[in-house]
Amino acid sequence: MANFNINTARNFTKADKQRSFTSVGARTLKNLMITLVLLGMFGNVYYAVSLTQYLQNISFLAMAVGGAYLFVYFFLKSYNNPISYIDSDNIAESLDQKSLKIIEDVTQLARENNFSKLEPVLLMAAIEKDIDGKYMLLRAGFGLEKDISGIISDNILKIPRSENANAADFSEAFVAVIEAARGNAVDKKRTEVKVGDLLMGLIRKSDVFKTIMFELKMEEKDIESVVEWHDMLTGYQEKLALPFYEKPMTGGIGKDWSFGYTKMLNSFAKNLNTEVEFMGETHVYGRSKEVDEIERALSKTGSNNALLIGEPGIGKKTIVKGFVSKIVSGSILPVLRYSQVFQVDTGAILSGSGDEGEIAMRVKSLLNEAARAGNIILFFDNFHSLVSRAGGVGQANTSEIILPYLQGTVRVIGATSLKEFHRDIEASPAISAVFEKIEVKEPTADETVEVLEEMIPFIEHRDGVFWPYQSLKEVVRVAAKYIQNVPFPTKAIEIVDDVSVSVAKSGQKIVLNAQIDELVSNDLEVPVSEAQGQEAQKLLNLEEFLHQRVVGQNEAILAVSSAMRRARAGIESGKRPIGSFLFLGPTGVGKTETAKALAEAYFGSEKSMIRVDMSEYQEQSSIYKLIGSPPSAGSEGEKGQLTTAVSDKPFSLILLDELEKAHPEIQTLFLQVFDDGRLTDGTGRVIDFTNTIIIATSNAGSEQIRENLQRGVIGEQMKKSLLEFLQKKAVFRPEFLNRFDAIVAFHPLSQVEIVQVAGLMLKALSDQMAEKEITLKFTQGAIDRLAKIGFDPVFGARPMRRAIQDKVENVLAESLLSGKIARGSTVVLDEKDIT
Amino acid sequence: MAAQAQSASRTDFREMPIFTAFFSWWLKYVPSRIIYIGAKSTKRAFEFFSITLLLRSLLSPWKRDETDTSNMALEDKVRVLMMNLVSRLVGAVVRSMTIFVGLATISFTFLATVVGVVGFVLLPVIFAYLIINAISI
Repeated sequence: MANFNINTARNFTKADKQRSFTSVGARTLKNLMITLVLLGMFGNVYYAVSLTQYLQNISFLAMAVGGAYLFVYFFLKSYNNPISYIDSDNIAESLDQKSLKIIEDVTQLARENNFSKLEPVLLMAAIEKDIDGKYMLLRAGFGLEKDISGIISDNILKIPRSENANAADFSEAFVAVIEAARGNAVDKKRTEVKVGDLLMGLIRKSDVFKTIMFELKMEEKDIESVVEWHDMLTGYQEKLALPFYEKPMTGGIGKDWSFGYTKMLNSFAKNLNTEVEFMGETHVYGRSKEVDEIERALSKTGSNNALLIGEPGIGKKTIVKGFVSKIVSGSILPVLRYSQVFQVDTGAILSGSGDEGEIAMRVKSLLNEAARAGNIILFFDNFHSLVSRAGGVGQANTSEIILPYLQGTVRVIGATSLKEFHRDIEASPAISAVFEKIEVKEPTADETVEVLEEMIPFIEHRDGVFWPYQSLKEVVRVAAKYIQNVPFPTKAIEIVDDVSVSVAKSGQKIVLNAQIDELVSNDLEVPVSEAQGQEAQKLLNLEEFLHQRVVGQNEAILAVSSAMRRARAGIESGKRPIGSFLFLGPTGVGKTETAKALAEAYFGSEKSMIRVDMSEYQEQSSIYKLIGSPPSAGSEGEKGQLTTAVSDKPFSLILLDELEKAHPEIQTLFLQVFDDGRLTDGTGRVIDFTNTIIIATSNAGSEQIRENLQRGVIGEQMKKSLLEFLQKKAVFRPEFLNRFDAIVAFHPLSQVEIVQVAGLMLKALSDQMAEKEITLKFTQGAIDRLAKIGFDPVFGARPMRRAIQDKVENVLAESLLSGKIARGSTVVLDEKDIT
Repeated sequence: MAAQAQSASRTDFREMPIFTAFFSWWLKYVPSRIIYIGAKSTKRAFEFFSITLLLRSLLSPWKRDETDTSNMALEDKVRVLMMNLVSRLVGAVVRSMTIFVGLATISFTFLATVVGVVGFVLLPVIFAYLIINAISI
């Protein structure tokens, strides 16, 4: 067991002595001495006027006594300031002042309650009393949503008590926690153990703390993030509290006198330096490479411009602000010192004038002014709109005016998206050549959490709500999984913003995961929380729900229902579509109806079904129609029908009708979707399919199914025989068939099932009439008759809809219009009425 | 940061026996802190008054406000040249004054640091002097 002895620890001894300097008596005496010195000084001045000798003597004495006391007082106070020894044999000596105070509180608690052993649970209780500790525990959700007081009190009650308890008898578990805390401090290259390290020690070595954190859905790495979050915010506070001589210098008063006027720029652009100086530095996470690349590009001789290429919302402007922060803090290359970055309002330049000549003049004046001022860096967001050949509103081609300035006269930072870079900038090789291209990639989920950590204090201040760490994780989880067409960090920031405002409006003070899930679920119309309550019941009874719309087809319904349950219970890998099924069987047996029912069950509405008729994709070239065509210089490429639909509505059921009719190359395309859950479209965008259910239908093998059923071959045997048939006839490749979660054979409907289908459809009609307050009933004879009319050996139950329209709906419509049926009437249709 | 400054280092006076520590604090630790703060403040004053930048652009036109004289008639050229000269003169005057104020501030900071160090080191002597004077009536 490691050595942990607070009685012999030097820092504890010094802390004890130092307390005497902070006592009320010591402070009063110090203030008295300061007064004495001041009085002495005043008396000495008065002596100069009055020349009263004894007054001078008293003054001298007062100054000498008071001064000497203060001299010694400050020495002793400094001398007894505790020192931490991170590598000491006695771990207690590695604690910083706050941690040391926490341990003292633990011993105090033990004395008050006669505990004979000091256990980690007491450390936890003492940490909660410390302001930093409480802050971190609150961020970890301690005592917010879940009541964990029971776990704590149970464990405290377990601690043995004794009347003669030695207050400093630390248990092995306690010492192990402190040792782990020191290990963490050493790993983080700290010179002392801080409160955050104690928390890390607890999560690593205390079973009680681990249990509590498990309840709060916090893992070790989450606690580590909370501690780092706290350290980051403390670091900012310390930076703000620095004395004037330690603060970074931002250029001095002569900076503006040595560079030119920027009258035009002041109208059409905003000075980012001023913004950063006023608002404080922008901290850019995981973007230091891009910031350095901008710095390098702008420092070059000759063409010194940088072009940031990345999707909107990915953080290009934040990167530029990060670069400006470097200028403001003075940690920039000498050639860029005193630079002022102006973000040009491209929209303002292009608006208010339809005349391209006037726009050109504005751009020229701006560039002239920037060139003349000598220290200006221009930042154009949507740079492409200034060099676009496409024309139209918000676009102009000023390439020829801009180009000479970009060749070394003015420094420019441009920002554009990949699509617009290809379309507008790449199309002009001369413009493209003067820029150093910097690709801006989407931040990862972990980096996004860090971005949120930085902005949360501002949001909390604005809305008066508190964000525990779990809520940040939930925002990022939900954003990553359910929002595909907006990149990180924007999509996460938008959720944080919406949720924060909504929680504040509801008068609550803490943002809980349930509130995030509810808001996102409402926005996206998709259940985003873990399946529970009613939804879990619905999933458990999914077969029943599907059978309300689909008659028979038990195997298909069971396969689909099982896949759904796996997905919602979180067992799925999450890197593939929720489910992929191949429905085989003759026409009119319920394949499409099953798909619709599933869309309704899973996505809330059958409108969430993307139906693609694969017979339209028989040519190899039609692949572009499906996934879009690549962009080329001057053109942005065509959008794909499937990829656009999925991109717009990522939570959909995709129904690939008559898949066997599509070109084999197109079938191959789906291999990637089934394996990775994503597809790169023609324009280079990666489309996410992980939130889709893919159902392919095919009539191929219908005869085989019929024959098998006649021979009594069902279940696995039927599936095997079908697969052999499909491979033999080369309808689908084996590797393609193997990718499906389930290949489901839909058997032809029996006469009994046909009657059930008719019954279901007529019930739907009755429900519709009930809305008009008309009771519509059918006799069994009428249902049997309609079932007979609506069934076709080739098309199955497909003609049923037409039969109901012709034989029932038309008659009802005529009767309604002629007034034969009125509100409140009851209509009973029997066999005779179906003619 | 402040906490790190408190951490152990081999020369920290807090680790010495109290008698040695007193002399170390009096003659080394506090004077070196005063010198550190003085040096930082001097540097800050130097940067605040942008002395390097102002010296470099001492004779440049004020706010670079200079008119291009090419393609002008001789009479206009002379007039504009005069204007440009005035711009340079204004620049030189304002900059010189700023440099002067800056240098004065730096000198004051430097002097205050020296007085601070010497004063602190001599404090015990001053106390002794005051006591002797107080009792020698």
